[in-house]
Amino acid sequence: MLGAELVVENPLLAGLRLERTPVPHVLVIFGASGDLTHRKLMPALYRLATQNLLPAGFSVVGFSRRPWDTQQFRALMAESVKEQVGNVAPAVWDAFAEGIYYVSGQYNDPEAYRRLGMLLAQVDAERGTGGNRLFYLATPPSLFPVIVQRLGSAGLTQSRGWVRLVIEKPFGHDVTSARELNALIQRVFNESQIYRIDHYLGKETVQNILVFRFANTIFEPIWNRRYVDHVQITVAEQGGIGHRAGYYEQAGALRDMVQNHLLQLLTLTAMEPPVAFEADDVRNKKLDVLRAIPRLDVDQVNDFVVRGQYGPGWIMGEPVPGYREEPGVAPDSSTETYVALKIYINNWRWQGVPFYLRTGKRLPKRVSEIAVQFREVPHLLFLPEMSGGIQPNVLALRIQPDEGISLRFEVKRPGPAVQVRSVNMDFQYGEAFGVRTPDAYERLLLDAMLGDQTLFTRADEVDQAWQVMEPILEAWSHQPPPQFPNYEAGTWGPAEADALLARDGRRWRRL
Amino acid sequence: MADIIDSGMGLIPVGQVEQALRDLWRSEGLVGAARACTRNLVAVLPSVDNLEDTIHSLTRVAAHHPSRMVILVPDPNTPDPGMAAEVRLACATPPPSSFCCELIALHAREEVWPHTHSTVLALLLPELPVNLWWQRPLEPEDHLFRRLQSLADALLVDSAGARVPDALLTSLHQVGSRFPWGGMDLVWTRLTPWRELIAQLFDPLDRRPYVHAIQRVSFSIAPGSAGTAAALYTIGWLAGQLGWTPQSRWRRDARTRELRFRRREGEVRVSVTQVQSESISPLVRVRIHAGGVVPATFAVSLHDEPGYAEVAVDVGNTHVRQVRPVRWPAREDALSEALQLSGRDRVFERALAGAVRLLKGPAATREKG
Repeated sequence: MLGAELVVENPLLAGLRLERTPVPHVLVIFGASGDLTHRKLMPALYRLATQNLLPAGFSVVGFSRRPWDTQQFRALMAESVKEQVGNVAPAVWDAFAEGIYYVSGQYNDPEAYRRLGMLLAQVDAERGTGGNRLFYLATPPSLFPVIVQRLGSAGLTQSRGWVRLVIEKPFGHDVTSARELNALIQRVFNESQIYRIDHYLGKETVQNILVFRFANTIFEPIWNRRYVDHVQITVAEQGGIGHRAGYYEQAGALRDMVQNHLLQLLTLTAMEPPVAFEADDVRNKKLDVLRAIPRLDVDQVNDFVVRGQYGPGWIMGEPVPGYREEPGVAPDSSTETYVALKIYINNWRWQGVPFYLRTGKRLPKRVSEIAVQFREVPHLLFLPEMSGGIQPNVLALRIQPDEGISLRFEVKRPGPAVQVRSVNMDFQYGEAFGVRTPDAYERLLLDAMLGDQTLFTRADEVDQAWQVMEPILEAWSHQPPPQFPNYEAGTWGPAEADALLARDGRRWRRL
Repeated sequence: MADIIDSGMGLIPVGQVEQALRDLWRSEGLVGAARACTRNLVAVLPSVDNLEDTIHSLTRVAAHHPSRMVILVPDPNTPDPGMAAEVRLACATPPPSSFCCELIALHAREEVWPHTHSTVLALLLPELPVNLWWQRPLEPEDHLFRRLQSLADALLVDSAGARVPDALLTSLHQVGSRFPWGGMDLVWTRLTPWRELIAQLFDPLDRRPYVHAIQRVSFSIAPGSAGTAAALYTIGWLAGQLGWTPQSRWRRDARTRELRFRRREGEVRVSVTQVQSESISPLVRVRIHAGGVVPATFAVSLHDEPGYAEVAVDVGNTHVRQVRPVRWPAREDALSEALQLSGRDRVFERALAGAVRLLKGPAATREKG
């Protein structure tokens, strides 16, 4: 090699779109036999390879308990990618697969980590990966502690290159457990090495919230309590729990969706402009929002939060079972599959503006959006017969499906009479740019490879988010079992959720 | 691919163009609340024979660049008074979408050709940038070119189709600075995938020093103007970005060229060899050898499977092979990428300047500098 003193910029990258290309490294996936690896991670890696976003020498080491060898693992990964991606280019896959390896071992077995270390050293020598390691924990969360501890005791967190750790949610199940897990991981990794994935942050339209707010001058002046009446954040799922009953029975919608995805959407919508688009600048501002949410008293919870569980119903012309009839679910389960809540943010920008959040399973359609409803005009010039009831302006940021932005405003109908009607000005990402929207995992994997933590949650964010949830969990744990099921599959949730807004003279948007 | 909606009116007087377009929008129900339009594009053709090909290319960029496109067509059969127009819409999605390009083909006889610029001026949509796509031989003092240059923000040419590509590059270098956003060659935009692959070879920190220790570069190119232009731009790019000064001159008709450059600490030898290739890509192989305590060789070569390249890195005991997609974009794709520019491309300008220095030779460089 040449002397390190000559290390310089790469002038050939100037002006090219691929400035964000990671350096050669090894991605080590714990839980390599699992669903996440097959359905998401490996297809995302293949797509990154087809977009020339992976460096030559990039390598993957799968680690799991299954007694496979490298050849078997490569064959299984080839099947997974074919299944998820469809057309696979043999030339790309064959060269990509040359960098895939497998280690079989128990997660608590030091010998397995010793073998992993030897393989990593071999890959470094043969493929020029320079000691750079990205450890990805795609295992059940109960295995996080032992894997992290074993990585530390095997010396695999020490390297001549960089070392990072990616962790999938759930990150704890309450404040205490999250703090314990944070403390344990931080004994082995620095916070700057830890990448906590919330895959919602990898979605293009979620990232676009910041661009929309802070790259345009016309929205930010009205993005406050003076002009905004309220905000609705909806993450509706049409599906049920699938095969996740074991996890979901313990988690429920509040832990599974609200503590992470919905609060992340809330923070991006409500945060102040950061000084720079750098990881800690953005995350500091998100943290401020979480800190400004007043913690509910336990006896306030029922006034601010509604929970629900679906019963049998019909969706898209098909009968579907109720939650308690799903495989693996207790027949008297009190796990919530729906949550609606009202949140205030006590700061200068948002004082008194309610943020209504809702999420649920087995709702009529799969849709996620953030809708900012503006205040009504201060004085109505037009008679009711002219206006037919003027609607307030609504700016809706659609996250999925049909990612886009729509703005509802009032216009005059053409003709001699003054008649007012609402129109939607609609912007659709797909049509406007005519390109495939990358999967969230592609973006997040690439960011972790590049060392960009902007779209990953920091320990103090996780802690604050759990603090917001804590009184709700506590109140529910002390209340008698709720009268579940309280909404029919294929409807928009329990009547109490409608009442939550109706009490404030508002209603949920019809999506 | 966009749907073409033709007015069916054939050639109409130029004064009726706006009304005909309004009628066309209305007749197709294309009357949405918002109509997207991002730019004006003025294409100047060498002959009426190029019209259909040009319309084909323009309709294919409609999905990404909803624009008003004015095509100047020299046509001896244009009815009196010597200038007439035909209008069409190219819609990226079926009606009632409003995502459409307006195509105006402005036919003109030879005697009125120099006056077409004022008609173009009247047809441009206000306050939107203007790209001039000049398909005729680029003569900087051409009357129409000079007039259109004053209203355009950027100039586009395509040296892949030029009879003498090195002459086009020299002219482009001369006139590019007259445009606020400069000039652009579609061959350069087609080279982007190759440039990305080459740049990435040196991106890992431990390989970066090699970028300044390059000793030899071998190009294999297909015969023809695209190959010549691609080689010139790639060499110009490397020279411009890495600070190489030419010590020899590009000879126009040689099948193999040996070139020498001086860099800060040593010399770089560059060879360009024409090879027969089945591929549409005129660049076939780029092989780079760099010195150092541990010498290194890097290569990007077209793969047997069309659309892919093999990237090979050999440094000491490390031998890495990777197969990656690389394509030589069709004209419409190159055009679409070029239209995304909304300012000067300084890297291109340095590459073009480097290529022109090579064409003029070291004597001219010394005189200039």
